[in-house]
Amino acid sequence: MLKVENISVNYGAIKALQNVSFQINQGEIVALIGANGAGKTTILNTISNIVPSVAGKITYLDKEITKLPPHEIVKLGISQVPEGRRVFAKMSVLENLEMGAYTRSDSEIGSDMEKIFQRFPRLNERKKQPAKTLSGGEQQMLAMGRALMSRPKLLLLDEPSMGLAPMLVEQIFQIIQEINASGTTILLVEQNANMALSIAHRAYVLETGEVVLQGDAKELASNPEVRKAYLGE
Amino acid sequence: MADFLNSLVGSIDPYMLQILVNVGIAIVLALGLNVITGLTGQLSLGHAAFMSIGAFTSAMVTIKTGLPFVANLAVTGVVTAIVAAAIGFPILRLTGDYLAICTLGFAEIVKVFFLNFEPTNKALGLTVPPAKTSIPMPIYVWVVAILAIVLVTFVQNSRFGRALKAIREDEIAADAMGINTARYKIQAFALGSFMAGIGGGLYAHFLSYINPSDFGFLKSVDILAMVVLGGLGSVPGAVIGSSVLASAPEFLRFMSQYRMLVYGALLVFLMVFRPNGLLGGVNVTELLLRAIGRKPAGK
Repeated sequence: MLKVENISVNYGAIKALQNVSFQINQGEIVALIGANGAGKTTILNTISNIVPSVAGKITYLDKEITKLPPHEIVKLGISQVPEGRRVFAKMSVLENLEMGAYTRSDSEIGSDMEKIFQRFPRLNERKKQPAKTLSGGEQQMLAMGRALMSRPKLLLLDEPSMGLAPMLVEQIFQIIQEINASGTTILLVEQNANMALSIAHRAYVLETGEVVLQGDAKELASNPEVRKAYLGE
Repeated sequence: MADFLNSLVGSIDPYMLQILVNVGIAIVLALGLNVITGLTGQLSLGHAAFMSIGAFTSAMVTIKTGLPFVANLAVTGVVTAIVAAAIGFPILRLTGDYLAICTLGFAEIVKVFFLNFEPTNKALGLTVPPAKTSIPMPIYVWVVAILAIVLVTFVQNSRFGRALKAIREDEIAADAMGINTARYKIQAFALGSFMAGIGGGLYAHFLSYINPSDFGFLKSVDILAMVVLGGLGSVPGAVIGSSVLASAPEFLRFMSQYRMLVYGALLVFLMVFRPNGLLGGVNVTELLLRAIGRKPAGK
């Protein structure tokens, strides 16, 4: 579905990504794990073209999207839940969800919003509240709901567990699996490697801008090197 | 009609008329900046530059062509908007303080340009001939001010306005929502400058003399103060902010030499006690509905 080939990204003189290649198949949950500064977020921002690449090629559904502007990429069905949630703080929950559907003009926006409220009942209770008054977990749900409003085929999730209590993290990850089960392909970036590997089908391990390991999520979770470096053993 | 309007304007005390026209022009300028800084969150310290481009364009159109005044204002607005879009294209990639400094620099360039531009008499300034119209200038000012209020209110509640607010709240998130942030920022900048240009055209023809030094940094700051004082992003706020600040120096005149001191103190107190502006975060429709004893919808 998405194929990333030999992507390189520089921030000034710093090489953030070097020759990164990976692919995502329809229906999968693919996890990108790695330490701080490994380039995980940069990969997502490069797919969305918020950060431009200096070399390499990204193909989505057999179409090259490397140079497309961000709003065109959203229209093609790739939606990102940015790191740190980035909800529109002064807008209400409802308005945030409406913004998520900005690229759409069909008549099913209302019924899609109902589905979001069914999936996240907390948001329904807080419809009229400004987003900044929500708790961290609720904001994460809102950010995910907002991204789903564009009806993505591929959902990019950046650190959904960041700053959340363990119980909430489990709940969020369960919702991610449900979203995947209803037909959305997911690329998940996580520092919480344990949780990420437990729900992902496949995973890539990044280290200082390069892919150092890849494979089946279950296999990676039992790989002694991975366990030592990322799972705290 | 023209006779009636002339006698109407003639019946107003000239001093009061001057204040009311100043307020009207200030409303147009402040609402324009409100689109750029209030709605879209792009801090501009060069709004007076677009006012001067409008003022000189409009004056030259009157001098060189026989265009009726309404067409003159339309041409002026469009020319100013085109200049704004051209300058906005490179500089709107910047954000926050960097953009502010850039607009400041641009405003200085515009001022120096007109100070050295032969066709507009360089630093001597330009005497503007009467506008080609039989309707008195104050009527134009007030009608344009009302149109500006209607336009910005409409923009604010439109799909375009929602995108602008999203950019103000979080530009990266707006990008991720599929909003073409670069294009919308330029459009907002052009729209705000369009209004500044028309405000400049009215100013030129009301005063019938313009000088490049009238549109310096202090003028830009005055306009910004009106928007901030009223409440960023609020249309009624911008109207009240510009009314208060455009008329305060006159109403405070009885204090003679202390008046600018009081004016400054007024600004300081307002910012301490109403940091979001007079009407910042206040839903005026809701207040009005409450006042007449009705519950606002959806509460």
